[in-house]
Amino acid sequence: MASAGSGDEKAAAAAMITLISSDNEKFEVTEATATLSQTIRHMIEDGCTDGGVPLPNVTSKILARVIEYCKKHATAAAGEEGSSSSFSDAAFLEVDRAFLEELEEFDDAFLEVDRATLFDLILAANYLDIKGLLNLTCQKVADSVKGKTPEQIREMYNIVNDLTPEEEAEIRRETQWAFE
Amino acid sequence: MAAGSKEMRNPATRLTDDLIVEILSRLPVKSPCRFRCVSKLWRGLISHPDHRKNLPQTLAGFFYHTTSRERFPESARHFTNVTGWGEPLIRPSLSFLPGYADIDILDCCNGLLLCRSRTAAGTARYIVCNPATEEWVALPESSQVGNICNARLGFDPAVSLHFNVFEFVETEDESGYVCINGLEIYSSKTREWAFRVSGWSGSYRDTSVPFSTVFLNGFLHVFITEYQSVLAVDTEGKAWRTIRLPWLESYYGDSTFIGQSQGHLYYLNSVEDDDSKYFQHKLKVFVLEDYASDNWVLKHSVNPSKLVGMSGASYPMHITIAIHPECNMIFFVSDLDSTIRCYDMDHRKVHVICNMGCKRDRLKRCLPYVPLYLESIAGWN
Repeated sequence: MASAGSGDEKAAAAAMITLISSDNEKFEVTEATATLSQTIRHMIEDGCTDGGVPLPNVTSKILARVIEYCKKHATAAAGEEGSSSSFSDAAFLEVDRAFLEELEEFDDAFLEVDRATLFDLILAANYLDIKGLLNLTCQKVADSVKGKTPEQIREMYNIVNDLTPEEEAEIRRETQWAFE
Repeated sequence: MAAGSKEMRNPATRLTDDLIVEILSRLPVKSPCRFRCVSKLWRGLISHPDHRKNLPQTLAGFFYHTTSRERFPESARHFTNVTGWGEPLIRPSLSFLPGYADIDILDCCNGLLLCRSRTAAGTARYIVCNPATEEWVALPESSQVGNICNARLGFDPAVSLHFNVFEFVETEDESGYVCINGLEIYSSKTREWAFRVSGWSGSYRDTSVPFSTVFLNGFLHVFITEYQSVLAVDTEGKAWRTIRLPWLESYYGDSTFIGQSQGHLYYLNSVEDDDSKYFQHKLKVFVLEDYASDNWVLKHSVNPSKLVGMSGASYPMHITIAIHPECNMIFFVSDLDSTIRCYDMDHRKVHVICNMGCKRDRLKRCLPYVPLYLESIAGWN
């Protein structure tokens, strides 16, 4: 929106947003960090962030993790913009690559959480519309169920099999190869 | 949302349907196929029309043609599900296309069909359609308009939502050999045809041998009789490659087939079996495990009489129509009883899928079909 154009750009970059978790904890973050969330970006554009942004679906524990992710990736996004516009020599590419590697390491460490937290992160990423985080967390779950049998999935997620033996046999018969 | 409650320990119940699909969409097709067995909810999610466009799909069935003098028109088009049962997934009439009564399906590639429609004036034009979404686009005329050429489709939605059509510009000599002079390549990105002179050194093919082709790794592959090789060309007609095939003494041309499975190029052919005292053929299955090389590995070999279920069949009485994209299964038509069958290489078992009712139309191809539920493919009008 045009509102950013009217103000001083530096002031906009330093603007702070207050996020309020479901258990009423307040988190001060920069606008650059907050706008990794499309949901919050739209709120800022609509000018309805005064007095803080209440996030009734996200607990303080999860919000702290989400902010940690956004801070790291906001820096990455800013770095990327800088390098693509003005620098292209080998030294900077080298720096870029080192930074990407560091980011990958950060993501790997970030995902070292229990299953319940991972699902909370997916729900938060979805609600806040943070593409990168949703991608990262969904891929982590996908990797953990890849190659698993239906029985293992039921066990992992406490799912009750309500298919009749006939229904299950028919599904197996349709794609026998997938069960071997 | 009280942390630590029983509900929190069963996180899957808190994920919305969309999020479960979001996770499943990142898995190879085998997983969603299996997970339909988890529960009714999962079965419903994975087959639901709203979700299947986001989920990987696999071989669903075949288009095939039969011919009979006892009916009109003599040639008819059919579709069978790969299971052999249930309502056909696709209506083979393609009645959503204009002038559909006069349409031939030339090729099928990752969910799209390349069709040729004949106009009243006798000219032909190409139509590319998606039978799952019933979307279609008519292509502009190529410089070969008026000639009925061989044409093939190149499309890989994992790489790009644009497709290419390859039209073979060929000349035939007196001996029944055809030389590929070049290709007219249509790009749905530029919406134009471009002629490319053949960059293959030898490109003669025997018209009595099936014109077997496959699109894989961004290249169209064509089986060529000369030197027994596979020729490959990229979608821009810039990279031309010749892949030597394993040399087979006295091979049986009619059963030549190239295809793809699990990301690899396959070559199937019947050869005289050296070990046999009697005149006997063996169907040999080769795989190109390292795509950059010419090192074909013999993966399997089977007596063709086993395929058609007649002991003593000394030469192949089948035609290969596909390899399953995800597993070690060969699909073929038995000319003995006009059935579509599959052969499981791992268990060495044959299974009849369906009876075609009358003889296959030898002039038309049987085409394996993998549905694509994605809407608005790039290049659609």
